[in-house]
Amino acid sequence: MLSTILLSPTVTTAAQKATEKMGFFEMIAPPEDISVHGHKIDWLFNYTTSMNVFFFVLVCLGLFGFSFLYHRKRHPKALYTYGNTKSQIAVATGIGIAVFFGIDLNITRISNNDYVEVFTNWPKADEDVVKVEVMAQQWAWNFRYAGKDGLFNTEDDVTTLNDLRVPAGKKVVFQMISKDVIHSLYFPNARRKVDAIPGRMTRMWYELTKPGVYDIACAEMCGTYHYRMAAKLTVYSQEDYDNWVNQSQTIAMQTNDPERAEAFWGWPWQ
Amino acid sequence: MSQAMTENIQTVQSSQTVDYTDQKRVVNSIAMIMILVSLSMLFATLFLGYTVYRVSADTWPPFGFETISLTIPGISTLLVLLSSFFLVLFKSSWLQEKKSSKYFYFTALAFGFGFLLSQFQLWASLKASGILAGSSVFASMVYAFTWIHAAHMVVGILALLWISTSLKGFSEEQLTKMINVEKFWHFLGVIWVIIFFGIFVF
Amino acid sequence: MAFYEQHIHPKPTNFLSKYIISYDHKVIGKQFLWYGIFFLFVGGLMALMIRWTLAYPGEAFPIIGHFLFPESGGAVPPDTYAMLFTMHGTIMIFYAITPILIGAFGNFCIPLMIGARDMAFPLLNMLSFHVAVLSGVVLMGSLFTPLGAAAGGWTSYPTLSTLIGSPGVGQTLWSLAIFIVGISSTMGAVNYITTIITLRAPGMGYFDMPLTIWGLGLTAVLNAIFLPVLGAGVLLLIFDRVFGTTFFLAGAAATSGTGDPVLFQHVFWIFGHPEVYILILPAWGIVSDLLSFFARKPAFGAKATALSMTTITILSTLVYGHHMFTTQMSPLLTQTFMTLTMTISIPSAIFFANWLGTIWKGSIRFTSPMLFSLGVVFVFGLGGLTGLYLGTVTTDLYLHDTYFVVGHFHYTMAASVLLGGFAAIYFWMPKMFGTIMNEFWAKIHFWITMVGLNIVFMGMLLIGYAGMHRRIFNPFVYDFTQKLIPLNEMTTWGAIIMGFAQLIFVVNFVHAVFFKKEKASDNPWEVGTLEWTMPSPAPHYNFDKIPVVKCGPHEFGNPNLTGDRDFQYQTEELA
Repeated sequence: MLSTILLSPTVTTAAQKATEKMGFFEMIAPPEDISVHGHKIDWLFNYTTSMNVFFFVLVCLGLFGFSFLYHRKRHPKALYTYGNTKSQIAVATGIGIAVFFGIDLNITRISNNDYVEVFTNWPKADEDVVKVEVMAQQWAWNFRYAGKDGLFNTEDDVTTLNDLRVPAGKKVVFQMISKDVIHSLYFPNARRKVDAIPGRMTRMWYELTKPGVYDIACAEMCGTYHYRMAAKLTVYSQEDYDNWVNQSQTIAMQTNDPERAEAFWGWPWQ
Repeated sequence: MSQAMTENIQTVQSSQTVDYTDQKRVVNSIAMIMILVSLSMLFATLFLGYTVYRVSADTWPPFGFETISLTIPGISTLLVLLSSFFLVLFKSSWLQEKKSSKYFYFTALAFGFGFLLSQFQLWASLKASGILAGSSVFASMVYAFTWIHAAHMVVGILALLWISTSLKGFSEEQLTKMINVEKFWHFLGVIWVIIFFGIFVF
Repeated sequence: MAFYEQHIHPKPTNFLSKYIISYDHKVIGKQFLWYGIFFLFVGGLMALMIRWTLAYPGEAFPIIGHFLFPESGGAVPPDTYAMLFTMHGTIMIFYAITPILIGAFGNFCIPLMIGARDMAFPLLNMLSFHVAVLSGVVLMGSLFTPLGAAAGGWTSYPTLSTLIGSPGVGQTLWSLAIFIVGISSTMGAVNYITTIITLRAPGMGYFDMPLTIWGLGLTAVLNAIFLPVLGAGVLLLIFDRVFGTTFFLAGAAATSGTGDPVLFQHVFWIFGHPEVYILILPAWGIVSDLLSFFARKPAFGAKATALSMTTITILSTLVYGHHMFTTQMSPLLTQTFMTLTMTISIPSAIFFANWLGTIWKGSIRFTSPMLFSLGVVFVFGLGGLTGLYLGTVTTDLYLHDTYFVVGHFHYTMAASVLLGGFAAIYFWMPKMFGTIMNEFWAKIHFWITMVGLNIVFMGMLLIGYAGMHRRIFNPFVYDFTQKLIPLNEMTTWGAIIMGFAQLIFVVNFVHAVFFKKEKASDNPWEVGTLEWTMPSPAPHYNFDKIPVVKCGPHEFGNPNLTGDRDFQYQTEELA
């Protein structure tokens, strides 16, 4: 049992070879952004970083500069001040205000705008979107597509295990629940995650741009094999996606067993 | 050095004996108030949970549950209030060093025990009518509140037994003890009344 | 409030009454110190196992791996890995940091620095330690239960922590241990608050207290108010596990009832966010004092620092929602929590400015406590600023539950608190044990620790930014983490460096406590707070005569001072 779980060392060394030539900044770069709105998160991250670097450099200048300048060898007599003169208080308060208005309110405003205008701006009911229902369980992802009739939890639904396929250039909307413990559906390449919680439904939407095969992971601790709760995200062009949908709908019509109660874990789209 | 220190301590103590108990009482009161703040937060968290469940539920009590009969909780409320009342009577008569004070004390204690008994009665009747801790979140809430409160009541009764030494007569230290035990006991009474109205009545 | 004379227990004569059931706050402080150092070692060893597994999954843990995990050939198995990170978090927070900073230095410093002979309630104080030991025994005992210790993360979210996700008795014992340690800390907190309010020496107003006492006092307030919240949470969890209630059960796997697992997250973080400040406030207070002591200059804006800490204490109770952004809150709530979170940076920036203002134009003595304090300023700067990414909702959508979070909270809670704790140990060593630790090795210890911890925690931040998520046994089953193998190895070697650096400390500490002949002078650091007016180590019942306080704790370099001293004692009239 254990030997199958543990990754064999050979894989590690193979991967090591691949990263040998990689530069440092390439190595720490986040996974390739394949979503329409992921750049908003990356941009805000970089903006915050530049602000942080500015303020941290200030702190370091003070810390190392004063440590050097006012070493007791160079500066034997300390200045006697409580730091309560008007100008000193003004400087301290000024720094506080500068940080608050300089970084905090800015990033709060930007982040909130993004959140309200994009990430929680749900596609309208009449919009043409791909709808996917997700049920997380220890330790796998179940995905459900509505099938030909467009209704969920019916006999012709296409269900997949750890295999999510979506088209590029179209909004994808997820509704998810969890069967047992809390999981979190994590798309590193889309910079998004949302928890799947037993007993309540959560939602997420995104739009992807670049066809290819990517990773899906579970980001919330969900038990011993949390680390293996991986799924694959396949992004198709619209054409390929239509082909795949047609094909799998046909297969689903043939193979779905209406007697199997546990196959009907879905719910009417809400 | 230690010799000098002990002498010093003794002189300071003897010159401030009256002050000592006064100050000590304030110190103990501050500590008791902090403890009660802590315990309030414990119960407040439970009430937060209760409110969340109640607000998010479609029907309350949940489908398939009758509202719990108010008879036993009502009796509990009466008992806990009477117990607090007699404790107040006890303290005032004890301060006047009346002989009757010990009757008030035992009455308060008896009502305290009566409250605990009524709680056991409540659990038995809930069980008899098929409401178990796991039946629904409503039943869970009722049990959790009563269990946690009853556990504190046990501590409260132990505290009441602890001040039984005061029946021998008045002393400043006994008074300090009594003030704090009284605070604790009334606090538990108030919590029960909130539980009674929050969970059983509404 | 005015001072009153305390009851004096007789001087202990035998071993039992001197070291085990002592009423003396100094002995209880030392008990907590040893207890904390023991758990620091256990938690640190767990950290090394975790790091080893992340860099070399499936390879035997060096040296002791074969003894601990014989079935898997010395490598950490995945279920044990989950236990390790759960216990690492729990032990470090509740059994290492809390005892060392709050238990040990709270007990030791509060009466000494405010001029009291002991805590207001010595018996309660003693019981608080014994209850903590009981809790430690329960927690360590859970490691030896059939299905092993708790493995749901230190946050223990249901439903993973209910019987659905963890059937073993370990999780129940974990909840019980947390409940007991909560009782212990609450007892301590009640004692600290009462002591600070009532036992300050005559003449000592609140702003004459050293900032250490401010930090410890505010911590005690948060402890007394918010530990019961966690207590209620884990109590309900215990009920769910043992008595079959349904508070946190939901979903298809729950056979009965419908509770709400997210409620636990609310309760946990209502406690959990103040807890972060519970851990860091004593370190802030200590650092604020030490910077002034060794810059030979009054603490810059001491009043503003104290008030900033108070403001943060209040704000910390209002921001917990930022831990739960991915449970999909309404935008209104996210905005509220985000804005409130951001306001914390105003007081933080003010006392950063005050810290730097304190060393500005000082005459800095680079002793080991000073180095560690300056280290805290550096690492807390990094830790605080990286918090901004996690307080904003959109970046949190990406970074939540990645190693970025781990790096952030290790910078704030682990690095800052650890360095602050070391500063305190080096600083109060003469008053605690009567000897001074070797300065040379203390400085070596500082530099290696500093290098090690920055490699580890910066490595975590970078790994997290590259997308690697938390609590995974083998990160390399994913394609997007393949490139992170070298970075993970580097981080692990940083951890090993940091781990070995602590051996220097242990040798130095044990030598100073047990073997060093040379006694420290009464006031080796030339500091004016009350504990330095008495002999080293502090005598039984501290003060020969209760001091009367006449000036603040940071009186350095007063130009009116005559003689060769550049400081004055708090008992002296301001020059």
